[in-house]
Amino acid sequence: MYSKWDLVLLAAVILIFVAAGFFGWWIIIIALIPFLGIYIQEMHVGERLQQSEERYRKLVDASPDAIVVLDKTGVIRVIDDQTKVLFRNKTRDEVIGRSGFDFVIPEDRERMQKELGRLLTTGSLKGLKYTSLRLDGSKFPTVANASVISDSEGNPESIMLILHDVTKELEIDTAKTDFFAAAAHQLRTPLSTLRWEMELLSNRKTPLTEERQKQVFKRMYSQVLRLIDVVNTMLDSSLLEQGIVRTHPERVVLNVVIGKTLKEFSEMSNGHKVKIDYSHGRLGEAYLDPLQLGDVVSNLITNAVKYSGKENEVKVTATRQGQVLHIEVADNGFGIPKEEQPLIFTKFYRTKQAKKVDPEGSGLGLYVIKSYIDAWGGTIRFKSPMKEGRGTTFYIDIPLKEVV
Amino acid sequence: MTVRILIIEDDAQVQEIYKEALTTEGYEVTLATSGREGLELMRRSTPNLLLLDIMLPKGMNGFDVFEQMKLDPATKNIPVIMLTNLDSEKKTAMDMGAKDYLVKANTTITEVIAKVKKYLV
Repeated sequence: MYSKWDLVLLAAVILIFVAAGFFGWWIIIIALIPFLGIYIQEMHVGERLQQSEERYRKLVDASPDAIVVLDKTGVIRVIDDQTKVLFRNKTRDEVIGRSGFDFVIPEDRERMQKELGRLLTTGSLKGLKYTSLRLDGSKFPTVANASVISDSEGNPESIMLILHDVTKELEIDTAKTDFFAAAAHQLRTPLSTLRWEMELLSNRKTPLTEERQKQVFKRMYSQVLRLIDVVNTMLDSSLLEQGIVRTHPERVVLNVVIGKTLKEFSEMSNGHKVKIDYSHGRLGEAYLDPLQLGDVVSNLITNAVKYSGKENEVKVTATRQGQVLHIEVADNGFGIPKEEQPLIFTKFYRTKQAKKVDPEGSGLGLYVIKSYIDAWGGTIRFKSPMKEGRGTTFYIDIPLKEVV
Repeated sequence: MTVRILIIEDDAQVQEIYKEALTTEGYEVTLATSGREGLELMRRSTPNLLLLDIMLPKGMNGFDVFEQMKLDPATKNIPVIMLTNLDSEKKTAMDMGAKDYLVKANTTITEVIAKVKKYLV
């Protein structure tokens, strides 16, 4: 594309040739000087403008949030890379020149119109909540901060929107609500049992025999233990929320810790028809928190059992390569749907299947064990191909501190 | 004639409490820990009333039990009192035809007995 100054130059050259015919060539040189001067100056200005635009673009592209510039009528003029990603646009041209209102759901458009109108008088607005709409029809929740960009005379020229995708925040919010409901339910069960035990005792007309008294108190005591358990779990998760992982490493025989967990498990899962197939190499000793390692193993097996079909088999493999302990836990269950796979380590997140099988679960299991593994400097990953009977396999690598 | 009450409840201790309270009142109490077991007991001999929990193990919840009961002429008229710690299911339970819906934590055992007396046939 030619700039207007290229055309000006062309016009000037023609003019000069015509003039040269009339006045002679000496006048050309004199006439050329101011034109050349202006052209060179404008070229510099254009270059500077381009440079500053590029700097601005780089700054905008570096922002973690999506930035959109609209003109006063709401037409999109500039978008950054984040916006392109967020709205899954192939090119910027798909979006630029279109109305910004096309990118929110129809129900939100009237409100957006009003809010942008208000913005032109207030200069900036924060926390505008819209449901954004992609060209492919999919939707996602956003929170926007908007400000007015004015021209050199202070008149509103355009509107800058900084958009933040809040899908994850909303998911965590819902999950938290679910967690508190589940926790309250877990507290309610032992509390209501205790209440009834006490009511029965106080309504009695004849005293209990000593034997019976002992029985009743034992039952009540077990409910109190249940309450303490629930409260401890809640407390642990709130510590983890602050990023605090308390680990108490001690010298352990790895195979004993894993074996003990599996044994407790197979005793617990009686009646669930679970077959745990454990194979291991020489694991030796290491410094590790045995309770946390036990938690990691039992959590993965609990999940494997819970979310597998009726006849389930869980395969546990433990090997040691030098200073790395490698554990694999494989089931032949339903698997984890692709769309839920990125979320399973998220605090409070529960898959649809998990909610169905165990409505009272906390959604903390995998989050907690990942926190432990992270604290040890290890890794946890999984494969779940979602093919019949292929199930899910978790792979854990834990760097070990050698026992000297 | 003895009045028989069936209780479907998976918590052993809660079972004990119901049993103690209801036998003291002179009722005959039968216990089941899962929905399937409960349905089987019901078909063998019809109880006069059913106390039904919602969250039950082995893939069959209280509502599943209720639905199955309604399909069988021998069990469909047994009065059902739902006893649970879930708040959210009252409407579903009442729409299905439960006589009452009691939240365990907010109910005394005396109230449970009073409701049993009220709905006995």
